[in-house]
Amino acid sequence: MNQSVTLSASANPREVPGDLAMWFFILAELLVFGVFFLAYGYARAHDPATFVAGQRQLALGVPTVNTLLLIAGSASVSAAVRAFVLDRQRTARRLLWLTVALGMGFVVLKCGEFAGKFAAGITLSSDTFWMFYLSLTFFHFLHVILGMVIIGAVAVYARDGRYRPGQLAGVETAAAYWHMVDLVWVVLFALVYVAR
Amino acid sequence: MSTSTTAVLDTPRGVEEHAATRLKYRSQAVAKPYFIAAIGLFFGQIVFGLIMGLQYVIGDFLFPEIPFNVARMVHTNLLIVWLLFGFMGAGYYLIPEESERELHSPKLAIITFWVFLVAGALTIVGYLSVPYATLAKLTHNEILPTMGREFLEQPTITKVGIVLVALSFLYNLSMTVLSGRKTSVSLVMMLGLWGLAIFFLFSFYNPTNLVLDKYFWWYVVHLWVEGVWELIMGAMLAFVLIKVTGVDREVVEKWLYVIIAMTLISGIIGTGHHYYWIGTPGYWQWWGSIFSAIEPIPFFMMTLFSFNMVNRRRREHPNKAAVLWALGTGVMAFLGAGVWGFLHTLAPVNYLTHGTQLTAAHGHMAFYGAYAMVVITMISYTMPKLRGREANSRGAQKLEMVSFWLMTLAMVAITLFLTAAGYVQVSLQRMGTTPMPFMVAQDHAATYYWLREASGVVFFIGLALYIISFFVKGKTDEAAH
Amino acid sequence: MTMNALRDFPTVWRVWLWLTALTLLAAFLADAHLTPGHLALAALSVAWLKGLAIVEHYMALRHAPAWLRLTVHGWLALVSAVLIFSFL
Repeated sequence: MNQSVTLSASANPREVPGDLAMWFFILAELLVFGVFFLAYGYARAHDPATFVAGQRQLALGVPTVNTLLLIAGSASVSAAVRAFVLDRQRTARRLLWLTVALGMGFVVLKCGEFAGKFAAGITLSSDTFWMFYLSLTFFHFLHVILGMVIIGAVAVYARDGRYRPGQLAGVETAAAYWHMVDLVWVVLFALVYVAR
Repeated sequence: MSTSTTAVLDTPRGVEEHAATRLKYRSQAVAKPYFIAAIGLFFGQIVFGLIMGLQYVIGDFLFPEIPFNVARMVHTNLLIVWLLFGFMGAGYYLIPEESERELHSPKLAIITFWVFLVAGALTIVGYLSVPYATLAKLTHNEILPTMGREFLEQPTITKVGIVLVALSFLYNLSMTVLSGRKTSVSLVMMLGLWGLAIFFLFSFYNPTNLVLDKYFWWYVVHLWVEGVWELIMGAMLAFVLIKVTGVDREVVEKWLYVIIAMTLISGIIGTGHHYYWIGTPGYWQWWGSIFSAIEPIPFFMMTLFSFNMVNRRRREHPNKAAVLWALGTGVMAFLGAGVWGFLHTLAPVNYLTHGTQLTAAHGHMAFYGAYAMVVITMISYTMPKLRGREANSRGAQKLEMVSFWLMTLAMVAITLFLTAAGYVQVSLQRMGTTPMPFMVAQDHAATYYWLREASGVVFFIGLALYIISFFVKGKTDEAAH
Repeated sequence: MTMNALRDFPTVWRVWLWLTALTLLAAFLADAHLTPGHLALAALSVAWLKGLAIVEHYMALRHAPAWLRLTVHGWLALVSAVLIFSFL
């Protein structure tokens, strides 16, 4: 176990950040979302009018804030990993909880968005655009929650000091999952909200 | 070394005295009757398959004694029951070994075996001897109606019997796992088996609304074969591969987790590819297409997994036949379940091909490749050990491998001919400006049905040789490993 | 990851600023009365740029084996490109 961390000027060996098996899981998730996005593209290409009409009813403010929240969450979880590397356990745990809090912000705003849509009588069967909108954002929403659970779990486990420099696979893995959730949202935000 | 001793082992007749020297745990011997029953019922299944294949082209063959619909019930029910016997035998064999202790109650396992076998036999006899409606009356279906649905034709009392058998099985294995070592293989196997039992409970739910009826029917069928059964298959394959290749358990376990993760991610919402046209909301056409398109991946991974494990093996196991079956399982499962499944999984395609011979083509290769073959892989690996040796003689293995090729290639042929028949059917009956009526279109496919039947005969010969291989004597390869 | 994470620390906040800026740009563009085709191109291009930063720096794939890096970048490029194409 390293007592101190030294910065090396030379190139470091390539390593998978975190658990390889989890990366396969992350790739699988990217695959599913990818197929979903492509299906959206296909559907939109065949019926642009329905999509444009639906998108016109989407406000941009909340999703933009949501994007900023997730990006900030990625920053804070990256900072948390760095803190673990420097063996600053308390700072690291706090940054993890900050990530969870930012995620909670996303969740709350998203719930508000869904509530608004349901109140307006929009359902999965309203039309193809709304079907995609609700499916994609809800599916992603579930992954945000899973990401929060994973990071929260790591924050709890960290209390017994198990994440020492050199033994950070668990933290890196959790961070990687969160970044995947963020990455997917970045595409989703552009696709569903901005590209109207 | 096993430390626990349960009640006096009630070894079934026929288990050789020195089987204990080959088995890590004496109670693993209870798997043997299950496997024997499985093969016997498999044989029966194919006999009725041949009958139906002939009825396709000679419509009143064996009418009215064994009408087509009765033969079909017998064929499909025997399939499911022999696979269940196979899974149970597999569980009784691998759980004690993985848990590193004797089975909780070998006696219960034997009692359960006989209950299942007798109940199953009576049910088949019921199908064959009386009209279905009479069977329903005799078994008091009206008390809790569960009869009348495909694959779930069993009288309600049989279904109750199946639940009790499953509970006994699960209890026995769970108690073994709980007090022993927990491994990925045993946990995935138990998860799959518990899932199998839980989803079977939906066979008791029989809504009057036809849409709901069909919706929940798939909770049994899809969530079985494209869900929890894949977990069982993955665990069985992993177990055999660990034993015959000697590859590090950790490597195998990582693969197994990724495979079952992909199975669940793709298969759960992938159920939607059965909800396109039954009266459910339209979004299922999107959800089902998107998620089920990914369903081939776990099968592809199982193929990669098995070849990769064999390639990096650390030992030359004397049971070459078992290795062949393991590799074949991956390939045929991927082709039958993955590729042929994918061919008709997208909604726009399925619109034209739903319920045609293309479906049958997929169904046959998928069931054979995934489940029949994984059970046979397990039997191939364990049966010699259950009979007191590490592997069968060269002569027996050679015959077994011949049977592998005959059955597998025959199945490929069956699938190709049914695919051709399906193409004829879809293009004549479902497409174009003047679609033909059903029976007229069927007449055009008659040649393919004859070819399919011929292939079925070859399959049957393969199966016969497989059974004969159990009786081939010769010097067993006792090379120590 | 340990050595690399340390070296890249200042990058974490720089990347965050970059991503935030791009997000606000995208939101601004949405109301900027571009033609639908141009807007889609702009939005998905911005998304692709943001994705690049997340993949390289946050996911630290910059220091990961080539196969993993290429796969994730490939996903990002494929999805962005096909989606842009679907708007044309």
